[in-house]
Amino acid sequence: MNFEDLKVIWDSQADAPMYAVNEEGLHALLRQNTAHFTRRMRWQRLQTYLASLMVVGPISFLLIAHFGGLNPLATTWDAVALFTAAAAWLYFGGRVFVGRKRQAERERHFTSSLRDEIDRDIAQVTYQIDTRKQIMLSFIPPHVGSLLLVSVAFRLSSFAWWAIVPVLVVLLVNLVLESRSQQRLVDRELIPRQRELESLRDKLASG
Amino acid sequence: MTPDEQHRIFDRWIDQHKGLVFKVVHASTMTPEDRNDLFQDIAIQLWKSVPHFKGNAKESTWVFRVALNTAAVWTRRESRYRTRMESRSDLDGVIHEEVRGRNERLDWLYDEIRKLDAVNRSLMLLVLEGYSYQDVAEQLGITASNVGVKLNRLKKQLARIAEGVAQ
Repeated sequence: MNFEDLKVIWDSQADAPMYAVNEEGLHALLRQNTAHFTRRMRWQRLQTYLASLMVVGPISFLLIAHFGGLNPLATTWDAVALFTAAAAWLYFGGRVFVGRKRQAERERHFTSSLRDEIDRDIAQVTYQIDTRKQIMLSFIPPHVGSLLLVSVAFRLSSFAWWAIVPVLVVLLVNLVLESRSQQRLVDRELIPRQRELESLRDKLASG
Repeated sequence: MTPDEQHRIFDRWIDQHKGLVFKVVHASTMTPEDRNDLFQDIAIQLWKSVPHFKGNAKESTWVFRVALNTAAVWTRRESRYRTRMESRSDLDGVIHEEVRGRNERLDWLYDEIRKLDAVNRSLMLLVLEGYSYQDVAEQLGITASNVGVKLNRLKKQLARIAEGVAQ
């Protein structure tokens, strides 16, 4: 049997449809997909704005009041701590915002060949791996920010200094658990997928 | 492009070129569940691709390219994950198998194509659909000479299998 024979077999299916399309289901799928994407983008934007507002808003208010002479803060160190907390949260929010914008941009990009498609997928997986591997580093600023905020709140409420210890422990445990869970995801799913795609690209390039 | 226009073009593509999509889906999956998942993923990619279609290629070529690219990088695991995330379980059954007479030789050919890796499968489907080496090279993003080398190897491999079956 040669290739022409295979072509004859292949062409024998021309008039026999294999499947029927459920058009209603297909349109529902598209509607759901579009709605899901819009919802996701809206929710992410809302999260970013709310988190910034909830953390940076009160801090800014306290700082303005402090330097405006109302002195709600006990010392200048409190002001410095709050300023640092706001900066840490803003830095974190900015990183998340830029990362999501880049991700959305990558999703919008449309590829023309299989090679481009594979390269794009590899770039996406590599980005996810890098982001998740550095999760500990990127989560340190908001954790430090939260700790500073809580410590100032405790000082202003005249709590004992050691009251901050349980908060510190919870934040540290959270940081470690989150980091481990992300590392597991990288090891179990993302790295095998990256290898799979790289092997596909090698196969495509090999003569 | 308005959403209505996008819908109209998408519907026409599905109506006129669903046969090509079915061939890719059938050649890339083993179970009805996977076929539905892959078809859904291809449909979503086709939908997203509508605004990018500038008319430089034939519509059928464009649809086939999107279907092949999606199938090549598609994985069951990924699709299941997306299904969970997007609650698409209620949409199972976007395609239904048609009852048709058995064509054993065609079933055998599909089985053999399914055994190929994603790159060779795409190559095989393109050549069986009658695309030239240059077209195949463009679709895959490799050189025409590379297509020739790969295809020769593939033809020999399939001929060996076919001889084995005939004996």
